[in-house]
Amino acid sequence: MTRNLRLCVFGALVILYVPLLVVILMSFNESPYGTFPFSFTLKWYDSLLGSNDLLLASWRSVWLSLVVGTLAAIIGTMLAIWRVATSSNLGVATDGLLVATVAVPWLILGIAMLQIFNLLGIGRGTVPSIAGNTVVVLPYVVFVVVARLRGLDENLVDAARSLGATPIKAFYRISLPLALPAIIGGALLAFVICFNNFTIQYFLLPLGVRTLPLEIYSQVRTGYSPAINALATVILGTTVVLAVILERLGAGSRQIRAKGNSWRS
Amino acid sequence: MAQLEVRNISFSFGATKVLRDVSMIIPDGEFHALLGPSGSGKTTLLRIVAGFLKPTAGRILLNGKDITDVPPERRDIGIVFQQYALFPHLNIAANLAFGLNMRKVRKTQIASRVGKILELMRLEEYASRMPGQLSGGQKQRAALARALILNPAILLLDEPLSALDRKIRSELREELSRVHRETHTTSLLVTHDQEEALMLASNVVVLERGVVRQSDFAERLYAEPSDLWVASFVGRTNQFRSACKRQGEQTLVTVVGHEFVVPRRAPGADEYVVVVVRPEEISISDGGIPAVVSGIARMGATARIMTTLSDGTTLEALVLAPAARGLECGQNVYIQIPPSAIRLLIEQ
Amino acid sequence: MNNKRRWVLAVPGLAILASLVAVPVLLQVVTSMGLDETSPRFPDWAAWNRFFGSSLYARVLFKSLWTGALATLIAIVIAWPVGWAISRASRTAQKWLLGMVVLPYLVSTVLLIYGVFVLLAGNGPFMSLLALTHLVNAESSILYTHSATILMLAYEALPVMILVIYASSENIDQVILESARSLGAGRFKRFTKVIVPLTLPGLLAGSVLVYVPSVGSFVESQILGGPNGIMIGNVIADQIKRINDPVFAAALSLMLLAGVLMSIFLIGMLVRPLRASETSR
Repeated sequence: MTRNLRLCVFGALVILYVPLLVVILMSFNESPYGTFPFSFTLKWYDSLLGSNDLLLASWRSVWLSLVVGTLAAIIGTMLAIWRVATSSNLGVATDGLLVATVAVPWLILGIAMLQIFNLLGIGRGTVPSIAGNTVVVLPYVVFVVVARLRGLDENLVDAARSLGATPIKAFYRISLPLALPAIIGGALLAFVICFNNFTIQYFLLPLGVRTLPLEIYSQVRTGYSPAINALATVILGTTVVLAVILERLGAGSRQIRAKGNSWRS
Repeated sequence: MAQLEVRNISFSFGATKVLRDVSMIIPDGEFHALLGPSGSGKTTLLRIVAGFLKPTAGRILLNGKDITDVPPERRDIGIVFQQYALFPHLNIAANLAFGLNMRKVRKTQIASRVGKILELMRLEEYASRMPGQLSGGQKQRAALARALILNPAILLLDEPLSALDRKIRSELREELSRVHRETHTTSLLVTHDQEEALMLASNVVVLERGVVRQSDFAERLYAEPSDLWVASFVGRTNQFRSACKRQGEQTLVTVVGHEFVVPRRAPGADEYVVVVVRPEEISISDGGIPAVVSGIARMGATARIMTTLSDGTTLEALVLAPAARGLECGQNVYIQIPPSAIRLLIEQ
Repeated sequence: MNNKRRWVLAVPGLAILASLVAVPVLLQVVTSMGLDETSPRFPDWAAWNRFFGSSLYARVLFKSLWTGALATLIAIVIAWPVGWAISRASRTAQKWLLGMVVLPYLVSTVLLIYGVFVLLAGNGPFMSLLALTHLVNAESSILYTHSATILMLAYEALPVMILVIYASSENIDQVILESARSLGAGRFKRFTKVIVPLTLPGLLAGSVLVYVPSVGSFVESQILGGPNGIMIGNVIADQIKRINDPVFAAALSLMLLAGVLMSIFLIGMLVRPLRASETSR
């Protein structure tokens, strides 16, 4: 990489991380208003432990994102399997529908969904939120899984069948395991997008019930506590640790698979 | 062990007729080849025999039983694919065991059968490796092992060597021959490489645009091509148009002003035939037809010599390197064509 | 799997897509014409009269489209060299770099907005730095101006843009550039005649992912923008949350949608001469 390009990358990373670093820094700063001078303290982390609102909101976000991530992964994978196998007009229409879901601003989707739920007499609630968040995240899962399925060597399924596997068995033993990385990736993507999805949750959650994005929003607007900064730092740290663990696991499992697993297939 | 019969198979894809009334029989234990250029329909025929495509007309019979409507997983057919198609997420041993697992063979039996086939294909040290870690030749041996471990009645090979380097290709050809000699599995090789077909198979079916052009013993295919297309596709030819005079069991033809008495009947009844001579039958010597060397391509052990005759026609000769020593472009030489090497084919 | 029974798999997905996306959005058309539990006078063009009655709403909409475009453009300019550079790096370096680019994206946007808020505040780090040029006062701040909103939106767009450009650039083999070079193309020509046409399709598709949310955003302008920084998103959210007028909100949403679609179409047209398929002619 040339020096100029290296500089660009470095510059971009600086730009990306500065606001983040501000937040992290402020979590250790004495002053509650985010101003200088800087003096180190851990009191905000202490305050975080006592901040029921924040902890409750975080828990809600994690719970919601897990549910939505799992649902989206299952429904999305099923849709992807069907889509790859079909060339009908319905398939093409589905593509359009998925693209529309990504292309239409969440603001519009949010209020449109709220309208439907109101008309149906359901209004805001937990179930509408789960449904709304899942739908919005679905296209991402489908695109990722479809791409993987389409990239699989088509001869593999034929080979499995020539060895005696029925089409269903061939799918479970060959196609699905090979598509698994994509499915997991899609589920993770769904989790992350849902975790940070302010807009949809803003319109569909019951009033007073707040997930983390909503809680932060409400606190930022009405004089807040820097415990939020502490929380963000914790979330960031956890994410980094998880990512590293996943990376190590990924590398390890490849080795295990090669050594063991001799006769089982 | 089985006999495979392809009976009047036709296949159309929309308006395109991919296969037209193709028939062939492979008796028990024999190794046949289906030879044809790309687009000839050979892969389609293979997929029909394997069960992945349904023919528009015709039947496939295994030992006399009609298996045309049997799904691929229940046909007793092993397939070796062009791109190996080894399962990337399973190691080699697991790949080999896959078919046995499908048949619910007992674990102990699987272990011993996998071990035996690994020995047969000399792949013992690769058992726990993943397909991605193997070379092309090793992958192909593994693919072959995976098909053979089930002792299939029929073995289908879809251009198994075309993805490999030249050297590996010839090594694997030997391997295929050896394995066939030891297992006697009825086999069908599909390829566009005539060298491969002639070397491995006892019988060759030549397919062109969905139609069988010639079906014959391998040696006879080369020596006695049934028409001009087959003659040009299988090996190289020198071709001339000549008036012919039929004289009983012999024919009189004129090639560049020189008369030849060919000890064969001329086909058809036309007054013109096409005279075909293979390059390796032509020799450069001290007497015969005068010619000028117009090009030499030395290819190590052999040399291809282009010559131009007095009336402008070009003749290609294939000689062993020693015979080409000292030859130069522009040199005057003499060409000899043994009349017994001349073939006569109908004009097309 | 039996062909006939495979469509069962598609049922849950298609069901929620149809009922929660297709139907609701189409319903907005009807809603905008007055369909509402409280005032069932139908069809009622009051909302549409209001929209077209004054130039106010059209102006806000246009401003939002413009803001989104600007933010996207800024992000593209910064992201292009970065995405390109990452695509030329080694496999391991790529993994790390992409990971680092994605990480900020994982933190709640609202939090990042706060971080930028602190950053841009008067007497904060950003303004103090800028004050060194003696062009601005350290106490002043670009907070509560529309520029702050644009910068924030560009910042949010950055990770996605880098990923998108990386993905498009990955396909361009170094060999292609080398052969262009051997044919006499200098750096500028290589960029305009090779890199741009080949990267453009992916870039456009990815830009939509960034442009659309930017146009429809409202939190950024609410927290960072000033009185001049009202976006169409603010108006719509306001109609729903505070004023409780879903009819007008529906009309505004549809105009937003129309605006977004038209601008995407326009850009597609404008950019056509640069696309690879045209150049090859």
